[in-house]
Amino acid sequence: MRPASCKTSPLLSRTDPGWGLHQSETRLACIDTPVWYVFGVSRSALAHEVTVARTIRFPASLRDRIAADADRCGRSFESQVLALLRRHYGADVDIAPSPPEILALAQASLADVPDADARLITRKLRDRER
Amino acid sequence: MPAEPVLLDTDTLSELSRGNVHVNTHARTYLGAFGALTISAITVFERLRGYRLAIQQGKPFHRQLQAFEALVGTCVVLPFDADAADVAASIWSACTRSQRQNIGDILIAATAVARQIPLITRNRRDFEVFIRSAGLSLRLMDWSKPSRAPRKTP
Repeated sequence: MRPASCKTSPLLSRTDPGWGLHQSETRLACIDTPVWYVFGVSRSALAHEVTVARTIRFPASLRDRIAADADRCGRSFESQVLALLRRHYGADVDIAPSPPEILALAQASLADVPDADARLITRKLRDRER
Repeated sequence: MPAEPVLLDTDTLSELSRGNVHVNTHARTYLGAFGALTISAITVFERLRGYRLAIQQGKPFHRQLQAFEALVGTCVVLPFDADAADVAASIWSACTRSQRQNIGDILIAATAVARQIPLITRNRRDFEVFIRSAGLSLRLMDWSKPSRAPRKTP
């Protein structure tokens, strides 16, 4: 079920009608107990499509089968799921980075940059620039 | 917990990159709910040109550029499309000559208005000028301060 606020947002309807599922499903995950995994689909940042985080619920029986296959193949559970998706759909599938990973990238983008250079890098576009 | 997606302006993303504690806290909460930050293609342009200019000048910022490109890869990047162009033209024509110099802000505000999503900025005054001049319906929020309920600007 999507939050009510999602129904009228052009952003949601244009990019992905299901965006918002993650939030409600995460809440459900606290009530039920199955294992939940968050995956994302990485695409070109400048393409019209966007990266969408998804939460996937695996029933216990399926989880056990995947875990057994993963064990046989010497992979982690997540790697096994990714391998299956990649084999079926192609290589453009990956695990969405976690919030700390995203925040670390943001900080690494200006790490060790002197203040004067950081100002140059982050300055906003103005008319009559030289 | 944020109820809807929001657009980060360039300065907010810069504050996040600088490790601003409040921006970081808001961003962490937002990422927990939505999985990705939303920025505009204008912000991507503004930052990329800065890195490329610095590198052209012989500065060793390749590693930081790579981190930024990886960051962008995790973000929802809103394009500056025909709807945003229409809004931007309205803002630009309603502004004074000096206000028009903030063309980056105009393009980012137009992107948020066209998508009907709030804009996260620490330069509220700059954007309120556009709101007043062009009669925009644009909600502004500031992540550089401790949490506060969103305020709707008329």
